[in-house]
Amino acid sequence: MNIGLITSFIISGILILMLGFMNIGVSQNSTEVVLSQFRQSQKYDVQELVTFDLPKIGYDFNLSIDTAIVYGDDKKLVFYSNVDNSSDGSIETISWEFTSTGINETVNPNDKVLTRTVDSELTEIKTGVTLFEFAYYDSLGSTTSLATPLSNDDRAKVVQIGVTLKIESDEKVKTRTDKEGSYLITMWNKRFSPRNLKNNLN
Amino acid sequence: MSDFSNVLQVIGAMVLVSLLVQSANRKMNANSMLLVENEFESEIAAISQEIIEESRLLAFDEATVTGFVPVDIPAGFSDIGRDIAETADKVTFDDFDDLDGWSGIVSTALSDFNVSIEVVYIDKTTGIQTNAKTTLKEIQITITNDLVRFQNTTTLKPYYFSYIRSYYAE
Repeated sequence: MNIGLITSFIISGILILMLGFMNIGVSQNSTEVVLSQFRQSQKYDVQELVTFDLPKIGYDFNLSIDTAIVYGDDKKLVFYSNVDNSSDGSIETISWEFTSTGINETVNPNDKVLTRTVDSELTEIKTGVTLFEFAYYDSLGSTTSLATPLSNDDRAKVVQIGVTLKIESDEKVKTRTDKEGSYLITMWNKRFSPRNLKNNLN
Repeated sequence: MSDFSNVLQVIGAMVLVSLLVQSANRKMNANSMLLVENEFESEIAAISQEIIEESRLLAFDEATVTGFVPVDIPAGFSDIGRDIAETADKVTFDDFDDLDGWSGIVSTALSDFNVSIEVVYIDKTTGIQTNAKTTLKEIQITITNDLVRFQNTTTLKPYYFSYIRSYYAE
C-alpha cells in the first residue's frame, strides 16, 4: 500500500481528533460562561435585596429605633425598620432566614430556600443559594464576631453585620479532567455598618 | 515527489488547524480569566464599600469626636493620621483620618485582599489634594489580589476607590 496515503490517513485522523477536542472545549467553555453569567445575575439579585434592607436597620424617617435588632443568629436576622420610608412612621419587622428547606426544582442538593419577610409578607428566594450566613460585630473593624444567637445585651452592642453569600449552579459542569463534574460557585462577602447602629458604639 | 505531495498537503492542513485550535484555546482562556476577574472585582467593590461605610460612622476629625466643635474651622482640625493611643488596629480608630496609612489583609471566603488606605485634605475650590486643613477630607483606597493581574503580565492589577467627606454634611 502507498506509504504516503497511509501517512495522510494518520495525520487526517489526528486532525479530526484535534477538531473534536476543540469542539468539546469550546462547548464546555460556553456552558461555563452562560452558567457563570446566570449565577452572577442571581447573586446580584440577592445582593440588591440585602443591600436595600440591611443599611436601614433601625431606620425611621425622623428618628432611630432604640432596639433595632430583635433576633440574630448565623442563619436568621430579625430587625425593625421603616423600610418603606412611610411618613406615618409605621415600623416594619423584617426577617431574613436561610432555611433548611431544599429546592425541588434543581438537581443540586445543596441549595436551600432563603426567605425575606416584611411583617407577614413572605418572599421565598430560590436562586441556588447554598450558604447565607450572618456575623455580628460590636466594634468597627473587629475581627472577632459576637457569639450567636445574640444575647439581649449583645443585640444592643451590634454595630456591624457581616453577610456571606454563596450561590451554586443548578447542575454540575463536567470536564475531561473532572468526570464527576462540579457545581460552579459564586460568592459575596460584605460587612454592613448601618448608620442607625452608630449609637451602639462604645 | 508525487508520492509525498498528499502528505505535504495534509501537513499544511495540520498546521492551519493547529493555528485555529491555538486561537480557540486563547479565546477560551481569556473567557475564563474574565469570569475569575469578574468574581474578584465584585468582592473588591464590596470591600471598598465596607471601608467607606465604616469610615462614615467615625467622627469627621479628632477634634469633633466628643461632639465638641472647634472655635476655628478648619484650622482647629487635627493633622491627618492616627492620634495618641491609637494603634494599627482599626478598633482603636475614632475619627475619619485615623484610617490614613492603614494597610492590611482583608480575608474573605473567596480570597485574601491587600488593602491600603490614605486620607487627605481636599481643597474646596480646586477639588485636589492639599496640605492645608479644609472642611473636606478624601479617603483613597487601593485594593489588590494576588490572582488579579494585568493581562499577560505578573504585575498586580490595583483597584482604586475614593470618597470625599464634608464636615458640613454630617
